[in-house]
Amino acid sequence: MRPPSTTQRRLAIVEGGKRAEEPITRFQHDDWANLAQSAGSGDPQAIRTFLVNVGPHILRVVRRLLGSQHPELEDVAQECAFAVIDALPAFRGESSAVHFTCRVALLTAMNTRRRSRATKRAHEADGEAALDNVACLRPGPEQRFSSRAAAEVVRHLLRTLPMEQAEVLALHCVLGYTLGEMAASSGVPRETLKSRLRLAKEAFRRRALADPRALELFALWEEDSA
Amino acid sequence: MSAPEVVDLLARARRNLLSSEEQAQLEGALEKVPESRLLLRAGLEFDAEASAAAGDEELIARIARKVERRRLGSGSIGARDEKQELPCPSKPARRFAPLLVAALYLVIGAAAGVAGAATYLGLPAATPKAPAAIHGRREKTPAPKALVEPKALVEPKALVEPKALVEPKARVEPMAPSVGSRSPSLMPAASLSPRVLPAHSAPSVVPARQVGPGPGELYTIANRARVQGDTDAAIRAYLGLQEQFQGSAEAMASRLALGNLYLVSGRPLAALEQFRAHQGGGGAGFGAESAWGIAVALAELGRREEERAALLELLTRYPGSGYETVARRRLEQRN
Repeated sequence: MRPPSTTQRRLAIVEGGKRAEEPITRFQHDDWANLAQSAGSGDPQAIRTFLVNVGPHILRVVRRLLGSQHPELEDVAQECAFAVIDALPAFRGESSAVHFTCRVALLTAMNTRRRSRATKRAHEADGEAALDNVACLRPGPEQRFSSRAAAEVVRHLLRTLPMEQAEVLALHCVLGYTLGEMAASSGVPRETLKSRLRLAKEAFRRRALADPRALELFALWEEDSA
Repeated sequence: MSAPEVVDLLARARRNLLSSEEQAQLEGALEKVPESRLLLRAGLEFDAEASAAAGDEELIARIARKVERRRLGSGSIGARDEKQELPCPSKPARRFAPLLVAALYLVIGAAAGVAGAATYLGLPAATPKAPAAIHGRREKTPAPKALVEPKALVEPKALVEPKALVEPKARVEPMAPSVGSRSPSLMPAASLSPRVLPAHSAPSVVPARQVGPGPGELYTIANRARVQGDTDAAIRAYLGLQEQFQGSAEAMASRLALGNLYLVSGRPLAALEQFRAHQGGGGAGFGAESAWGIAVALAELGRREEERAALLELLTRYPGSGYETVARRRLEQRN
């Protein structure tokens, strides 16, 4: 039996069975690819080495998503590390190992937050407290307020949007990926990503308009766009 | 300008990679799509949250240990908490535990008595590793295996070549090798990279008393040679230290010193290898230095894109380090 071609393999991970636009090419210049594959095969030394090296990336993803002072940071990071190691056998080198790791960590952290209602409530309370403290920050409290309020709106959307839109919003806004990086790490065609991102931005606009805390944000928004 | 280009420009803006022309393009695009401006602000807030913090190395090591423990456990995928992972004795087990301990003491005492009697009668003493000897059978005592080194973190490059994972030499170290047994200067560059060592296995053979200089002495010798300007001798001593005492703190520190020596000697590739190994090992408090070394080595090798990535990594991982200003200046030059 012939092994599935790369195009077939990609179709398997494109949601909705849409055909990918471009053929898969192995990510170039990835120092970690072989290490990731060794770790994926279960080699304990490789796993340890891999974790120590990608650990900062995992922590960074979790900090972005939860906030650097979140009380469950370590627990979520640990969940992400487990998920990354569990997912490594599926790593095919279609994106860089770090992109792969960050995406798995991102999805795991998002799922963890979605599952935990208590976490959600606690975090919203934290967010309000943080926003209350913003006014005393210098310099530029308005800028800080605007940034924090926008980040809070994004975090809220990540919990409530459909998973596909939440993922693309997180890849773009939380991790700061380009379209190419998003396509490579998620295996989703660029056009689909653009469409999902457009929907997520519309949701962002709606949410920001509906958020009473965002009134000042909108005032700043008007100033920005004026 | 189409939307995806704005997405890419936003991503590049957050990485400080925009040219002035792209900056102008982005400003124009943001005028038209104000929510993108807010998303950029949110993104910058996320970036600010992502900075490394004190104690990250320990946190990562702790997580890695937990992952190892789970994998070593009885396949309990869901056992993610330390409390869950530790076996909890059942009630009957707790009740009989003192009896079991007492029985164990009796067995040990009996074994000691047998051994003492054997010594008194001039018979060969039985060892736990050679039970057949108790019955008078002579077994060939296995030659002591090579000493397995303690935990060591390795540079990813060491794993890039699959051979490193299967070569027996990559897993064990010869027991107490003499300093002059192998001239480090004759070693190929690949052998300088750290080997893959068991992360959690205890030494299977108790090491013999060390003959020759220890890691501290070797490190001192190498440093002295470096200070005196004898670069070759210093390099040899650092390599010897790394070969013989791979998991030691001195070997880790020597990677930074050796990397800098290689840089000075015009060998950026070897320097890069040392700096990366130092980073892979956690940096031992000098992570910013080796991160900077990586960027410098890559610059000397002419690998501009990788140098830029290394500088960004330095700025993200070690915010506020002594290299921040110069790293930002270099990034601007590269743009």
